[in-house]
Amino acid sequence: MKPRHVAYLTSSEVVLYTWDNSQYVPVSGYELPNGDPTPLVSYLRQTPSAVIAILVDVLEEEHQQATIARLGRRDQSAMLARKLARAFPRTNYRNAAVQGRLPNEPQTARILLSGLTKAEHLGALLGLLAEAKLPVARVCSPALLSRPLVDKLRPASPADATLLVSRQREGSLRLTFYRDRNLVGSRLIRRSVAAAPGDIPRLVRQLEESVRYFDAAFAPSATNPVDVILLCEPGTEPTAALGTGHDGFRLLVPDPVAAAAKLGLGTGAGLKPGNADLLFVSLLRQHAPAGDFAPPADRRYFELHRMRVFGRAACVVLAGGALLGSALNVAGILRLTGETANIQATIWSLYREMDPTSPSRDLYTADPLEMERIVRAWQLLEKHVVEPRDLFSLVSAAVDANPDIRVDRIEWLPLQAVTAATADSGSAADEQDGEPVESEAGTTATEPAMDEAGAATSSPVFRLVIRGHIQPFAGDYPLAFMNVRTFMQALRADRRVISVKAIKEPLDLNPRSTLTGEVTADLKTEKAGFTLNILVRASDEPA
Amino acid sequence: MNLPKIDWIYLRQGLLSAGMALLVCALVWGGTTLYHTRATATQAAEQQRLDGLEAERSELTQRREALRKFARIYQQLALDGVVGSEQRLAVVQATRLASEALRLPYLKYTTNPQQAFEAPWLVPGVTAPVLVSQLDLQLGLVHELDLLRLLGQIRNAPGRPQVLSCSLEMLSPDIAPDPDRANLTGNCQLALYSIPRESALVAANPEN
Repeated sequence: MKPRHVAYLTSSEVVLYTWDNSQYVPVSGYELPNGDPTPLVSYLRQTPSAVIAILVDVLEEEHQQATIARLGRRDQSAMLARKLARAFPRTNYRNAAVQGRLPNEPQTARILLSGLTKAEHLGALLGLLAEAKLPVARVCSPALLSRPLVDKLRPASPADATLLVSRQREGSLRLTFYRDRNLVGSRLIRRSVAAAPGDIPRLVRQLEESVRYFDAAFAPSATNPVDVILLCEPGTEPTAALGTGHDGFRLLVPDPVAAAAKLGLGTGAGLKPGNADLLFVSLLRQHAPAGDFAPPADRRYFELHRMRVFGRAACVVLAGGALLGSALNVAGILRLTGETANIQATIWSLYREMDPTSPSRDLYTADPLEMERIVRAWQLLEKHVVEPRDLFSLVSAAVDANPDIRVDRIEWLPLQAVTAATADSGSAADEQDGEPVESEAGTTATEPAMDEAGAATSSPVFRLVIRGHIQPFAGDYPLAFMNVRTFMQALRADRRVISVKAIKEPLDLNPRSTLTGEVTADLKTEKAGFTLNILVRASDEPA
Repeated sequence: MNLPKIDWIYLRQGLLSAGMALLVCALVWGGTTLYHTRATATQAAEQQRLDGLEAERSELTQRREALRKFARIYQQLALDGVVGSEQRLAVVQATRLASEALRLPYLKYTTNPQQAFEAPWLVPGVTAPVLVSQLDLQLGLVHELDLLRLLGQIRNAPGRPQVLSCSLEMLSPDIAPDPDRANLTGNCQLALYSIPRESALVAANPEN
């Protein structure tokens, strides 16, 4: 959560900056130690949900470098807490930052212990804010915020050591010393003793003295230089290497606009000459500090504030989901209601259509479907019988057309019965008169006829067998054959007839058979008999 | 953060409006879900009712159509004695009466036991089950028209017997017909069909 308000606490005052129109602007404050904080607190009360951060820029900030063995997370936290308590026993505002492993000892980590040794004003301010239930996100110092400055503003070929020098709003100088990008220490030089802007020689002396303060063993020289980044120094033109008269210090004054762009700040917003306070306040919004001095008790309302924010977000999400579900439910209800209404309308129309009081329901005692089954069965039964009168008329018409034909025997039976009889007793119908008859092809006449009939029509087929003779017959076999052919032709003329085959003719003219005969004077004893096998449909539907 | 350190009043102030909004939305959602569930159940029940009615209507339509098409024929069949029990007595009596009326030289009849009639074109469910008794006739005829007259009278008897097959043969083709004796012999098979009511079948075979 980015802080909306930043309280900048120095030894002499507290200034409240508020994020407004894409930059921090001072809006309130009070003098220390006896100033009235009421206006500041009242201002903050107007926006009770805005997150507050506190920047502490005081003399009483101390840093100690130490090492710690590589441990698990909980053990490391306990060890750091113990070391902090030992290093800064009289203050609750302390912080430990792990800076990484030692180059030659991977199992050992370098740590920096930081503490505010005298924090009465900070404690009072935090007490006021806690009383007002205002969320304080963090308490940090410019030193803990300066790592981005080293990373972004140091030269392309940096030295091992970097010294950040910033001119604070009160006129004091804040010096922060880095070795290998690790914070070593920071100190504040009061306005009264700090080198005046433009007094480079004095500044260099103070730099030398400060380096000895931070690391007594470090001696700046041409071979072991220190990059000095001078920030917010009024009256100094930006330059990559300002002459200092000391080979050990490479003075660098970054261009405010380019530096602000590198740091992600607004154009020129954070690097105003003579006001490094605003630079650190702005950095606080863009970069996380290396540590936090505030103990958990002082961050209580911030944690509660976070719970409120997350709770509200969760409520909004859940409520949105519930509303969405409700909308879908309403849409579904409307659709279902419409469908149900349609179904009910259909049901009523069906009720009216079915009319339970209709008299036709109980008119007959039999089930109409049973009636249908019975009638259909009877219709099929009738369909599969032939009317004797029809067969007689068929034969009579053919006989009338051929007066020399005499019918001795006539027989009809359904083709299915013929097939069954053939299968059972072998052409029983043909053998009734004791004369087994063979077709010209030598097979029973029913087999091809049945195939032909079955393929030709769905109407029931009957087999009609006619046995007869030619009379008068004067031994003229060609005439007898012609009469039989004419008779067969007359039978075929009927639409119901499927086929007519002669299974016996006046003479057996088959070249494969033997033909014998006798010629006598008594012609009356000679007889030209024939037998015809006719397939007839029960109805006269065309095939 | 420990629970005792939680400022519930502070939390409540910040979350009250959002919580109330959530509660209202949840109630709305719950209400609409409940109503939606009920509406779904109602719709399903109505749909089921409609399906049942449509099936009933379809069956009723089928019955009405069957009634319209087949009632008259069914009634006639019932009057003719086709539907119901077999009319063996009436058929035999009608045969005897017809023979006497036509003065047939002789007639012998044989009635076989009744049995279920089976044919591939009778489909169970589409057509009713049919019982049949075969009636064999051996005839002596003066003229072939006597056969047609005899069969015509028998076919008008109760049960409406159907002619299955016949054979007719001249006794002496070379001799002139004699009006006082049989000139032809005939042999016919008739089927005495009967279609029992389904209720009768169920009563006869309760296990089926």
